[in-house]
Amino acid sequence: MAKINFGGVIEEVVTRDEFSLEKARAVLKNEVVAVLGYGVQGPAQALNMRDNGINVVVGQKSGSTTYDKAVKDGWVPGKTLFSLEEAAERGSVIQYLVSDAGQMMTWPQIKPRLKKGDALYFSHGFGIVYSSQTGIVPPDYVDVILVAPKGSGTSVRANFLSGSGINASFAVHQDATGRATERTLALGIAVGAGYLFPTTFQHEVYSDLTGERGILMGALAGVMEAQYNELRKHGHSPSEAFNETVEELTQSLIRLVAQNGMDWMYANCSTTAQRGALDWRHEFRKAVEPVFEKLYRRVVAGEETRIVLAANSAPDYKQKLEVELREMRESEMWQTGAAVRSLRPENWNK
Amino acid sequence: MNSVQIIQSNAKPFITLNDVALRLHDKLLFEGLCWEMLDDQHWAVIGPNGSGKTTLMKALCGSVPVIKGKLVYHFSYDGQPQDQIAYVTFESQRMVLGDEAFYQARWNVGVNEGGLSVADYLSERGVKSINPYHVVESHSDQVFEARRREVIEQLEVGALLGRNVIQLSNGERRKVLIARAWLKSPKLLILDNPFTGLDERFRAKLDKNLENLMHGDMRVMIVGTNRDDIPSSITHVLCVEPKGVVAQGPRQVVLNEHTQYATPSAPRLASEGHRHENKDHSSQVLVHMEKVNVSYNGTKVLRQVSWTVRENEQWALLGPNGAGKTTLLSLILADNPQAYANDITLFGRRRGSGESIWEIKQNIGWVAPELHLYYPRGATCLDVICSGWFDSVGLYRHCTSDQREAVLLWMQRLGLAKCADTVFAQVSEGEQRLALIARALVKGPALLVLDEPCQGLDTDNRERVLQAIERVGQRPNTSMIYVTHRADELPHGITHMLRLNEGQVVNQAPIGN
Repeated sequence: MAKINFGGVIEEVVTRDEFSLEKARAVLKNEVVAVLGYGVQGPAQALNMRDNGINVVVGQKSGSTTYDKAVKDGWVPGKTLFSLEEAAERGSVIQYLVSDAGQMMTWPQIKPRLKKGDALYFSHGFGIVYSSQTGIVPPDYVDVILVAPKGSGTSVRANFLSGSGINASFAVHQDATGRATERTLALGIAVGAGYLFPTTFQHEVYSDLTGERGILMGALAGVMEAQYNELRKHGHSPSEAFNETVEELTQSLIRLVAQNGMDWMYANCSTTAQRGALDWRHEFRKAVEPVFEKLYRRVVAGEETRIVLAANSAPDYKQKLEVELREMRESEMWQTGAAVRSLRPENWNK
Repeated sequence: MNSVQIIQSNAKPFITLNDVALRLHDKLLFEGLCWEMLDDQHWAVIGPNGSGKTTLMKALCGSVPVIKGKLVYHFSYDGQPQDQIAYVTFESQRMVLGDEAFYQARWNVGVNEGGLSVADYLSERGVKSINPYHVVESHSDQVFEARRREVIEQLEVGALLGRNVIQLSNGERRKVLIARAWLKSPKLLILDNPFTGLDERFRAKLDKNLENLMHGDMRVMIVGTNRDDIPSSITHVLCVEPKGVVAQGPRQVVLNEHTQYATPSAPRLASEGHRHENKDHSSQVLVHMEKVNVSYNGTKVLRQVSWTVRENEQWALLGPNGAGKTTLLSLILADNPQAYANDITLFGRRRGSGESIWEIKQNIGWVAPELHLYYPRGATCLDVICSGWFDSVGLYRHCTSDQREAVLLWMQRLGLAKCADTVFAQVSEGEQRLALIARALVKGPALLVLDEPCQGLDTDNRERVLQAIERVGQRPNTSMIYVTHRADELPHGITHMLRLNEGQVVNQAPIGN
């Protein structure tokens, strides 16, 4: 493992120098990897592994458009494409890549097909960490492992095919065979990872759920709405409010942060902005700290999971969901956003 | 007296450039250029690769600044004058591709996420703007619908309407782009190398279409290198070289005085060249396909195709646009997952028997218009060629010093040494193509797959490339598959020919027998 200094904390990272594709193929030489679910991660990981020379079969319920996609991608019914149950039986590594809800539903059929020495593989720790709610408790004679690529299925596939790779985290929840770590790393390399960062199932899930409710989606939308509303309250036009809240961030500032870090941006802006940002940064952090504390607590306690599972199983959930999504889509703020986007220089004269 | 016709006309100026200079990055181009286009003239702008033709066109379109002098548009317009100008070039195809696109996306159904269909692209709204966030006023309009039907028929894109734009072949996409530009009803339609990548039959059709257009209200401008066919109805020619404009005027006058632009090259007849006598059927089989079938969305793209390529064989792969040539090659290049559902053996290993695509690609050097479209624009030309050692799109590893030496050698041979550290986006289209060809050749692979490599190259560069390809082809144990629509682009040394039509092999034979 390579040791990398992250802000004074040394973390170990696995790179292709330590674990090459050749080594991965050797480790997986006698394995049959069954990819259950041909949704988004499923295709990307299955196609990448097959292109790396790994013995892969796909499990997908027949008669759906997803099944047709698998056929179009060269998976042959009866040879490399099966039902979920049969694929699980044939596999020595079972990649459980159906959705979180799908995992709950199909687990009763999959569990009995896990054999001694198999590896049960996840790309998201949800099902295992919240097993009291999902019912997913693997038998003690299988390895339970995780490789979570940091990107969409399309990015995983595109990065692999370009000759690079996407970064991923990995974890071992249960090591029944004594070889779980080796198998996990081999699979990580085989699905096209670049760097592999060690984690635990708990950490992967808790950080993931916190992130999407926090900064990545929930907090960001909330904070944007708050500022937009305040500006509008005081008579600023929709376009002006949107520009100062979203457009300049996405089109200009966040790219500088992506390239150089927030600290660089602070050091390279006007003194007016700089002084203000340095002061208000603390004010905003203090205001939201309690909210993040509450969020994380609820994630760990399984409250957030309970809400998600209840929502997904409610019969009229789709309709209710559409109401919420429509409210956002038709809000003045996001309608303004669409109009502002059309005025971007690259969208003139298309 | 010379035989220059004096044309009586009441033609008014259409666009004039008066003593202009254009800025491209840190250079000034075309200093002092004076050029007047009258409204009854159709111009061809011709010149070698890297002479600034694209920059000049972009200036007409308003995306390159005119630093000195004046560029005047003498026609009426709402909004911007440039809204009345449509410019179709090879690069235009990149606009159609999504952000996360990779060249193999066409073959990877499972990770494809929607996208525009050709019908959307050619709808009234689509013609105005394909930006989904652009609030565009559009309404169903009988006049537009009638024109749309006509254009679709003339350009033969009716069969493509239901397809996703990503799934089109190179030639099909070119046709769709011309159709869209035509539907914008611009006052000036600028087409860069319009005949490139199109089959012979369609080239003739397009020539006729352009002739009809030129007799109507639209002005047509053709941009090309010195060897491209200039459509018959072009009236005037502007000759461009790196040092600036060297000639302008009525077509016959200019072409008579500057014969290097006027003479299309003689066809390179395969039978004239060196031929490897390959009667030895025990020579190693590199590619074997047995009754291969590939279909997408219910359309059979390849039907029962059987093909064997052996060591030291050089194949010409021929067929009209949409015949399935690129799909056939994708199976050899290990880019198409449907290979696993067929009986295909590459370099001695049956596909799906535990080989990796990287092992296969190590034996192959490849160049194609798709690679050109999708290659990251931020890479330097040196990086582009180095990536040939790793079969990667973009460079993610370091070359050894031996590998680097081979890269530099190829840069010299193809005249690219000066571009080594220049970013791909900033060299001309022809120079980009040369870099990609060097990338294909750098490994000295057992199999060269060259899919229309000379697209966009001027005569000198084309000669250079064909000679390099011929030299490489003569090396022992080197095989080649070469795709072109032009007889004058085949390298000497071709030994076999495979002709495809509508997904089927219609002819397969050694040359000269």
